[in-house]
Amino acid sequence: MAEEVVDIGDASLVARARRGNSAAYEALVRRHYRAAYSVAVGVVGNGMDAEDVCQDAFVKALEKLEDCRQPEKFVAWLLQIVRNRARNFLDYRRVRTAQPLDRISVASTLSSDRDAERSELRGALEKALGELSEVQREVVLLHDLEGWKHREIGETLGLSEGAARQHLFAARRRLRELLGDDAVKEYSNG
Amino acid sequence: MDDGRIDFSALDPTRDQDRFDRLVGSIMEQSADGLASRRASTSPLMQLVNWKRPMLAAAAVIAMISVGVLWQVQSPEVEEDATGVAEAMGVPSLLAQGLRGDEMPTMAELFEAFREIQ
Repeated sequence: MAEEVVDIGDASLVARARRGNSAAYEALVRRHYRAAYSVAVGVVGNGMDAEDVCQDAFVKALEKLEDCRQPEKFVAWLLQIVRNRARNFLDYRRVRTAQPLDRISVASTLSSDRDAERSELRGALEKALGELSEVQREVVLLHDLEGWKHREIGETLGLSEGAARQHLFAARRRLRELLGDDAVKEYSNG
Repeated sequence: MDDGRIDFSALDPTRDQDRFDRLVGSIMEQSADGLASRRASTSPLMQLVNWKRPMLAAAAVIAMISVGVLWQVQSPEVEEDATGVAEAMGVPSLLAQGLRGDEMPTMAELFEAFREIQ
């Protein structure tokens, strides 16, 4: 299904999704999930909550698809929704202080030692990311996880290219301090 | 490739393809109703239904304007206004009334009208 629309630009996919084409919307979800996730992690600070935020944001984005005035810039519009939903999520979580912050452990679904190790790495990364500012998290994840260029990051987050570069530099330096160079290398090998 | 890149693959939601497919599937499941209603609203029948309301509103406005115009056309005031306009343009009132009427003016009336002009 989604393979048929994999090479089509965002504007065309948005137009099709507006007419209710499931394959087109699924292609948009698959194409931009990681960017959405990067921004969501940047705000909420952990992967599991970020997945909830992404799900919520993509459903909301479909509802409001007519508001996307520049379909060719769908991703920038989507990330704004993700950011808003993530902030709402944080507000909601703050109110519900009685609820434990940790979600249902993913450990129950882990099938091997390798998964457990990955979960541990994930926890360490999330903890280290938690020490960064929101914008630093967004920049470093969009750059190093999603592979965006400084210019794209700047345009989407409303920063200059130079500012995006500086945030990335500061974020990486802080992460290395927290995780250690060896730890970072270890992730690279994982 | 950037040398300083930090490997976040442990956080990458697309790394485990099965899990990612489930995440996408879950989003699509929740979006199914929204997509279905979009499909329905773009069907030719629904397009017609969607046009019904503005078409009715436009028809009502046209009907109101038509009634107003008809009422003015049939109103005696309009005829008086028409005579007034003819007089304003320099046509003698006797001739204007003759033009408005169904009957041809008599020769005497025409002479009277020309005398009025002079």
